[in-house]
Amino acid sequence: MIIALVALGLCFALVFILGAILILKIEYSGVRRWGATGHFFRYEVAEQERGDSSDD
Amino acid sequence: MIEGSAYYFWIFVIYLGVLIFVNVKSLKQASTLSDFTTGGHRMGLLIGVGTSIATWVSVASVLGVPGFIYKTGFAAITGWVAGWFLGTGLLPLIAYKIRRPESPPRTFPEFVHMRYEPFQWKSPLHIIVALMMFLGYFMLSHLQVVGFGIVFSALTGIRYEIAIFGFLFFLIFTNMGGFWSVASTDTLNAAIIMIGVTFGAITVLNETGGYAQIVQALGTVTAPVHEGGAPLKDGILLSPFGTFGFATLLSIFVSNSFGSSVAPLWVARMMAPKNIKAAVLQLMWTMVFLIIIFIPLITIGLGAKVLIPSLPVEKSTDYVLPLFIQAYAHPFIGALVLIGILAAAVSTANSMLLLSSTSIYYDVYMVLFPRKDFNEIRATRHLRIWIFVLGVIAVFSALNPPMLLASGFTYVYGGFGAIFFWVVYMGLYWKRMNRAGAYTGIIVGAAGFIAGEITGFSNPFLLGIGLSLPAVLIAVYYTEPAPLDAYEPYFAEEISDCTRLTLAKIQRGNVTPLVQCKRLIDNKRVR
Repeated sequence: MIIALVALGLCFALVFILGAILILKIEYSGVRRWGATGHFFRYEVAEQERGDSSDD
Repeated sequence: MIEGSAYYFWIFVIYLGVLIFVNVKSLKQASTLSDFTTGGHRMGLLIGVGTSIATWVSVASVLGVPGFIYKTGFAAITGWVAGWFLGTGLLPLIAYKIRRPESPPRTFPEFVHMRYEPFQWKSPLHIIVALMMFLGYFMLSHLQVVGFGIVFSALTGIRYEIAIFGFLFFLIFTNMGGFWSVASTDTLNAAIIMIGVTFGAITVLNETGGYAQIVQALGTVTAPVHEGGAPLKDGILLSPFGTFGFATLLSIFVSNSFGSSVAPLWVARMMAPKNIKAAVLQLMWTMVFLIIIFIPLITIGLGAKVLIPSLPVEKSTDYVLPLFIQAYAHPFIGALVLIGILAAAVSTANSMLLLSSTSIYYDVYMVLFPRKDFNEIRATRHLRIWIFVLGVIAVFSALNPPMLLASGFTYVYGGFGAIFFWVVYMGLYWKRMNRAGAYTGIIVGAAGFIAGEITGFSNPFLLGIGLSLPAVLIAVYYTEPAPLDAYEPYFAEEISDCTRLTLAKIQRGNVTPLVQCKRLIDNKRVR
């Protein structure tokens, strides 16, 4: 019984661990199209915004 | 009509009213073909979570999980529920890549076309994958209609053979707006499922006296699943592997987890959110709500074994929940639970019918017979007709249900997993993965899975992906690497103009030969 519940708990936890890592990667990339907000890694987003405006 | 019919009737009428209102509103959202098939790639978090939950929670889970738990105890948690959760846990890996392109594919076969045969106008791979999807998802739609029939029959007292025709009424309202219509209905249904199963679990706990009493009773219960059958082994229901044994249960777990993570339905769903982050967050929130739904479902399955030790011979374990509701729940709670199951059947069936019809019309017919005067409104109208026609066929095929609900899902998800596992993961994470590798992965994976099923191999899914891995590697290394157009959208932040042109030509239905772009790209292939 315990094994079944532990297996369930581990599988449940995986999405949060993997999700958190991927969201950090998205934020770190600074690509707004992918969903980066700049709340965690402002520098990268600011850099990209400058890049966008210079292209214009 | 069964006892307490007034509750059933009024809750059913309120549900129908809200359902129709939500769908009429969502009809306005579907103005283009892309809106109809994938929601125009602009789905927000709330509706994304709602639709994921409702699609995830099908009749196979709401009726199948309590039924399997009733029959096998905790083994059903290890093999099915934990497997499905792991599959969902792996989905962020798919979402992270598949939603990267500026203009993502509209369907799963289109993704395969873009990734593996970007220069083929009539991509054979596109058509083969679409036909496989059509067969698999039509079979799953059929299973949902079976589940709908069981519940609608219990809810109204109408015979099963007549009750399944009620599905067509729901289909008209829940599919005419395409993806937006399905998603809106799903969000409403998700809320109803959650409320329904929670009330069901509270009833079980009240009747049995709580979890401690349930576990204690399960430790000694030996009553057979069906009246007059062979008694169960003492304490087998508390074993994590049950009567299956470790190897068989591992097979079921792996098929349900890795198989479902590459299921075309979910890959396509990950194309709908407005960006990658929304897709990943959608999965995380979905999991939170899934645990809120599954704890009650597990509770109902375990408690039902204590309250109804054996089932009548003519009833399969899929009937555990309806039988429990009729015997023990207050009519108000019974109506909520049964409407919740009905919602689960409708929301999953409409998603799958949308996928089946999109596969057969958009991915097979329109690729084989492209029209220069492509018209989005006409294409959307044709898709609606296809959905309805397939719905009618699904209803007639459900007159004679061939298998238990959860088992049917295991076959289809296991088969899709064996066929598409390397095609999806290698396609998204390995630049060199190419057309030859994709064909090899599909053919060897399918052959391995079918051979495993025929010979009674303990893990047909593992046999499929185990045989196809070396075959794919050999095929990829002995042939030309994939062209830049094929992999660039999934690896680069910005793509080249030539890649953009190639992909746009596939998506817009432009019949101009792609020779010019191919010539340009031939000069910059990655070695």
